[in-house]
Amino acid sequence: MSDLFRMLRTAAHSLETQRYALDVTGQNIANVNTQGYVRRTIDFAEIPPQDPWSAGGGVDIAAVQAARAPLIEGRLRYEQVLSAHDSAIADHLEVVLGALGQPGASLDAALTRFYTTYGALASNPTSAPARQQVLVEAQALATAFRDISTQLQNARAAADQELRNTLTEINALAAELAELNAGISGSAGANVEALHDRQAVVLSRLSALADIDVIHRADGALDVAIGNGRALVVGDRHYDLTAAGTPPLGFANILTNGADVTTDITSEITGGRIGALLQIRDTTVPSYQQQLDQLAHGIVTDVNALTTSGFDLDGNAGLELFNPLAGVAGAAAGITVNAAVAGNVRRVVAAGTSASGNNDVARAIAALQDSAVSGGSARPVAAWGALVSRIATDARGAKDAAAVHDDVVQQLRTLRDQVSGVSIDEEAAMLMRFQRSYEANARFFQVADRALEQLMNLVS
Amino acid sequence: MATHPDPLIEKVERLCETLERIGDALVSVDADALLETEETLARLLATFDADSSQRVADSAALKERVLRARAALLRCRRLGSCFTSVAGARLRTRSGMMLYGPAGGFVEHGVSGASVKVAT
Repeated sequence: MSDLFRMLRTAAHSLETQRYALDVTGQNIANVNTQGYVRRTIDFAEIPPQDPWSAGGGVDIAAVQAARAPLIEGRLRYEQVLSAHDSAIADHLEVVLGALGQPGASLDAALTRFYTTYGALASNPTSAPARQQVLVEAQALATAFRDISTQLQNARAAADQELRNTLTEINALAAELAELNAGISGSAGANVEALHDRQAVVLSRLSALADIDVIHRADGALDVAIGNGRALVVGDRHYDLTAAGTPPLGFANILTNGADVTTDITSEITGGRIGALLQIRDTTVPSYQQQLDQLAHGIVTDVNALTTSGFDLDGNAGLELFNPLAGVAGAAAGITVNAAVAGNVRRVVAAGTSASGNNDVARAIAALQDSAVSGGSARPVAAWGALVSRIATDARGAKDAAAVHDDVVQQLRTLRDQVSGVSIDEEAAMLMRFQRSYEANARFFQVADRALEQLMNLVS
Repeated sequence: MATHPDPLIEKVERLCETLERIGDALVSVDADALLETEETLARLLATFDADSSQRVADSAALKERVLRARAALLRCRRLGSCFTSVAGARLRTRSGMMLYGPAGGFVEHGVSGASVKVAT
């Protein structure tokens, strides 16, 4: 009789085991679109016979495992840092590029009009309307320089503001990670896999924001370091990053107070979105500003040198058309028309001698548009074009690089999904088949490279 | 699909498309799609030497396509290199198998998909 009960118990337990397996499958299907969810697999184990007269106790569940791929996850994090960095650079440079205005309707137009009005003044050097027009265009040119300088400064300020917001985001993610660590260390059973899923999602978001180092603990928790190994998350503790405004512009430096010592780690962060924002704010846009300042300074220097060498309509020694600049730095933001000239059209300098009707200076200034600007090697409009082209090239380069990184991230995600949870043999077969398919194409890459090189020589 | 009247430009256009298809197949880890492109790529490249000595009327159009093809080739190499490094590391750690030998050549393993297929 007891054997009959044992058989019934075995059958019931086996059915219960299979029901659980179906539950897990259902959970896998239900969460197919859940971010971070990793497919669960079940390890079945035979229940051994208790005596020589028994075939066995049926089947039991030895373990439910999440099909994780830590190696691919690590590579994915690495690529996400690069992808986020280039995307942020591309996004910000697109905004900068848009702020510069359309070709023919921006600083290039103001420059052309300015020099053209001097050409008109040279045709009629005593004309009051022609002199007035020179002042109007000089004011317009100064305003155009100042506006573009402001736009570039705004781009830096926008990057700074986004940097501060990103720090808040990092702190929130670090806090969540610390909480997850506490949960993972202190829990056992099926729920821990759900915590690991969430941990992977948080880590993925964090790695897009900054270049981080991850150290896995034996209990499944993980520590995260930022910059040169600065603690961000250690077990169930997290160390907030703070933004500290620094003079002269009030832009934020990044501080950490790990181990109770506040350290400035701004220069240590180069990757991810934060690295990109720092690059935009502190390196890329300032280099554009410097180029714009150089152009503004060169134009002011050249024009003032000519006006101070000439004479106004009343035969007085010529004044500077633009107020002298202190130096190259800040020239575009500080360019203004000399009020003494702006208030009296007779003060506009057209003559190279005190003789009435002379137009030497007006002609010389009009001719400046065809000669290299002081301190540079290009004509004024071409120098402006070079700056716009440089920004466009930088933006395009960052966009292209981001697209490639996005492709790699997508490839790794697909690869992770394909290899997770399959047997070693199946995975090896899949990887090698794909590798051979790739090799079949890759052996032609060098030939393609040579052919494209030859064609490039044909057209360049 | 619109074709260009200049046969050389048309060929470069097709090379671009093929390289872009290879890139897409690498992104989606699709071995079948990769195998399909191999023959097209080989056939296209075989005709290039003869064509490249031709004069091109629309050099701007050719340049644009050559640059596009170069970008597509770079993308393929980048994706291929990423896959190779990840797959190589995974094979080594999971199964002890090597993808590339000491001389850098691909290591042939006698594994066929059908013989190792596991019924689950």
